[in-house]
Amino acid sequence: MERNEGVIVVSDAGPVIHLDELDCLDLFRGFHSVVVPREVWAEVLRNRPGIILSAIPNGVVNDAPVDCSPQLAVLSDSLALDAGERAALRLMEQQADAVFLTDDAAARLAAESLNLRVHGTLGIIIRSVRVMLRSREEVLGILNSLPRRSTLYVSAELLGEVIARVSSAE
Amino acid sequence: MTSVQVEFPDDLAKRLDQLVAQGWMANRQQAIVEALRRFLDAHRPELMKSQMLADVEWGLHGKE
Repeated sequence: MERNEGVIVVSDAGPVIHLDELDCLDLFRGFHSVVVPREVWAEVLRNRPGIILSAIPNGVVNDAPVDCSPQLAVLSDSLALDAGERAALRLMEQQADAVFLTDDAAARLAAESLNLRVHGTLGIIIRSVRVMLRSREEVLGILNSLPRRSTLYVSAELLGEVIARVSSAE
Repeated sequence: MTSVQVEFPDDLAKRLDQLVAQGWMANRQQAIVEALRRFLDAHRPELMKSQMLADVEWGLHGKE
């Protein structure tokens, strides 16, 4: 469902929680809409009780029931996905051109197995340079602050590699 | 064998006990070990690293 004014993204709880921890929910700007299944929003509220939906640019909570393909049902069970991840992937199956956002390795593996486009919080943060929401220096500051300000866990070695790649990118 | 003491939410404990009571698992320990094994299988460091580096590429050079 690609549109001139941007792409629809379906988000799992992780990216919303992590961007809120970093005061960076505005980095969702530029997408047509940010769809959050009801199950995901409940998880976000458990972790970030003060968050409001309007802080997510074009944020929408999806309450409508969505069918699940047999493939997704098997993947979800075998990878022990939680209710929010399952709900988000069901929505993604209905919107083949949407982008799925998750920081869970298993949910991401399931999405890739279904040939869905999937990215995580790091991608959204770094994208902000490309779409001119932040300067490179600001993004490097955010990346450096991840261990202090966020529950997004990245090994120190990998974070160093990420920072080096962003620093040296053309 | 290693012994670990952990606290987890009551609703998870309730669901775990139901699983055991219904006969799907022999006991709490068996269920927790199986859940941990599945989690570790799906969260291998090399997989998470490759996923995050793919994100960096998309962030820097990708298209929506």
